[in-house]
Amino acid sequence: MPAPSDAEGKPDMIEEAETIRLTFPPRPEHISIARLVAGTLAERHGVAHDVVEEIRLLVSEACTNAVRAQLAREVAAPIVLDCVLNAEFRVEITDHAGGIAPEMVNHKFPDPEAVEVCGQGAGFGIPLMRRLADHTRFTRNAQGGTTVVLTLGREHMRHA
Amino acid sequence: MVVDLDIDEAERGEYTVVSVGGEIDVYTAPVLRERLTEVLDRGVAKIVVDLSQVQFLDSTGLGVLVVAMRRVEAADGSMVVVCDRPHILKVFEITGLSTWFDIRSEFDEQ
Repeated sequence: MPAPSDAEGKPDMIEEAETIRLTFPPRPEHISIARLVAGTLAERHGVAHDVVEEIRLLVSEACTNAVRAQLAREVAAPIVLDCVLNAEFRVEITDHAGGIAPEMVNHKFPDPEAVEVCGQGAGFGIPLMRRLADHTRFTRNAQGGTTVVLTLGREHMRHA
Repeated sequence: MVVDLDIDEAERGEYTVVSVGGEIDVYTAPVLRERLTEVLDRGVAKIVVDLSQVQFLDSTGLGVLVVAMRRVEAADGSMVVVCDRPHILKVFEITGLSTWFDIRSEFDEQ
């Protein structure tokens, strides 16, 4: 059921956070499933279409980094996507291969005239995540990988 | 291998129009890259990449388009990107590529 909206079109609080967890093998073809899960959760709660598209893009970028990192290091352990929806929307992507080195986190958008597109991408993904999400956090996790936490804050969560 | 990306090719005037449909991500982007490479390898210098039927584009897809654009520029050609979906256009805008590419809502050959 979509969350009801008040007269000003702002989302009501969802009393309890709803969490969906997806674990998937580190293969590129599964990233569309991760997008589908996160996007559908948001849609079912009546989140505005353009915000749903931002969520799909954020999930795709973070999962792409995770899958690439694990494939490069031949780590077969599953990648974990947690989507947590209450007044805000938070996604956590946990990999087992250190997908994002700390020095990459503050990268700006590359100059298209100078980018080198290699196996790890052209370098647009991380700055794109940082621009789209209200909060981003990249940390080393206990599995020796990276956990990326991306949050769209309450003000961001317009409803359709 | 099932790839959810439809790619068609047509000639319109001086331009070769490559129309793409589906979702462009790290799984499907190689299909687009190979097709654009094949077209450019044939010596095509004027190309339209029509993204009208693309429902999703992420940074991997952007990378493919950037590489194609660079090749076209190096060959002194021209490349037009057709796109009118707001959420796809937003990806170009956020990354600062909306003016670097020649993006139009439709292709109207001159």
